[in-house]
Amino acid sequence: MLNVVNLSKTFTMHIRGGKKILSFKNVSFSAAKGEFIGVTGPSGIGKSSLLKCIYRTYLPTEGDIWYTDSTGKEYNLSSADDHTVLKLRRNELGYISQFFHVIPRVSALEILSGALISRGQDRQASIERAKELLERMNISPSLWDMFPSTFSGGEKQRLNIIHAIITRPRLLMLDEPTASLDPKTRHEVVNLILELKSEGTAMIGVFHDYDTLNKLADSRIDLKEGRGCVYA
Amino acid sequence: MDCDKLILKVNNLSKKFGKGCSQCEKLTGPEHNSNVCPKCGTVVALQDISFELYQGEILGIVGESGSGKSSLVQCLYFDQEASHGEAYLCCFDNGLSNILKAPESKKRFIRNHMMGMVYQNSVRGLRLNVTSGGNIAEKLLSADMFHFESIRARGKELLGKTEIPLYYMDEMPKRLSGGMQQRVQIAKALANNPPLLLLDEVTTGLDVSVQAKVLDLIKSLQQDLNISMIVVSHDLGVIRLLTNRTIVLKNGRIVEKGLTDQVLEDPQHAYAQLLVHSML
Repeated sequence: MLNVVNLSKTFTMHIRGGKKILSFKNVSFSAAKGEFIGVTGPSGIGKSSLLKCIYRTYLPTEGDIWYTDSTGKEYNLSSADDHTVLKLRRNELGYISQFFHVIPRVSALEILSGALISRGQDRQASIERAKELLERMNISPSLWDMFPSTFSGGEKQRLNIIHAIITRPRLLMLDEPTASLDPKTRHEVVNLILELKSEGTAMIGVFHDYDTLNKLADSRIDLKEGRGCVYA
Repeated sequence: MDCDKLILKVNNLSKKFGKGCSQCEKLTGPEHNSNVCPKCGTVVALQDISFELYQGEILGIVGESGSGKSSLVQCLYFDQEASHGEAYLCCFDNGLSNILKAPESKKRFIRNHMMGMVYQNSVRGLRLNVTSGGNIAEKLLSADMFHFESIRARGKELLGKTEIPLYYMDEMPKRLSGGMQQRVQIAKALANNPPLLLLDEVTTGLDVSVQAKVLDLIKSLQQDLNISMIVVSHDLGVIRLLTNRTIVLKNGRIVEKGLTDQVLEDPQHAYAQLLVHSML
């Protein structure tokens, strides 16, 4: 489903005299339906940048990202036009960031149900599904109609996770989603991820917490400074 | 043009203020850090601007002052005449004829029936000495709606949508606050149910709480009515909140275009980097 070939990313900082900063180089791996690829390596080695390149928040410098959509059509995400990327994001790609960008003045329940409604799903069913997930993530019902900007860090992160998985993406990028969660909630998140995985979602995840990673990952790539990756 | 998804397609739009010479295009632009031709003094406001706008999409246009942002939307709204280039609007002649070269009567028809424009300064978009209701009626009359009751009803509906208390319907905009004027302007622009809405710095100069109201309104209009919009702003927060794709202009040229999150997090062009890193 996903085939990454010799992907490299270098940042050129024109405002610092054209200085080049290498993020990662020659990374290749592939992910099949329902497969979880763990990405490991020390801080600053380019793990998040790799996920962002696949989601196209970053433009890869070199290499290809071949993605086959639900109809069997193949796209190269590193060079696909913006409109195609937006369409795929809307329908098939998911991304859980390290930090949640809160949409201001929209309640938690609206943010989550809105993600389904905007994809043309029934309003009432969307709200029910959002409530079900909020309950599973131990978010108190008194918060459901509050603005997430008032939530604690952990609550925001849980919302972030629900927001990404509620649409059941086919390919999901996870950037340390469990970093700020207590053990009980972490356990619940892992269960949710496993559920999604059994439904066939391919995932690429960055985790510093090796216990969680061992539970989830089918295979692992270890990023090494300046020389691509090693399968572990 | 593929009208299933595209709503507007602009090809090589250029706008020059001045008589122009053969060197204008070569001697201006981001690499010269100027849009004034040193040979003939012509201001090259826009040069070779091409982009597409899709159904229900909000496209952001950012850039420093004088980069051509407002000239671009004003050329599309026929406030200014483009010097060169083509624009195709899906709902006009099935997107087959260049609206920039259409006869005046057709241009008026397009303006009145297919577009809405909200100016930075409400003096340009409203008649301040005519009531709010009258302003909306003006747009409806020009869009061939002549039934008094229907015009009143539509006016009420629009003011409700933009959260203007109804007792201001018969009040002149000059007696309203800046934020309210801006919302009356949006109500007026929406009156003819335009498939394309052009918003030029709509929140500049408003206090943050009013700004939030206007932004929420724009967002809900896009979600509920699926209107396509071009949003011009130099506030990157507004761009991040509203748009999916963004164009960065500098000295009348497009220096970068891409997904909004990509432009804001991984800008490629030197000027786009400077702009993003200038954010507070």
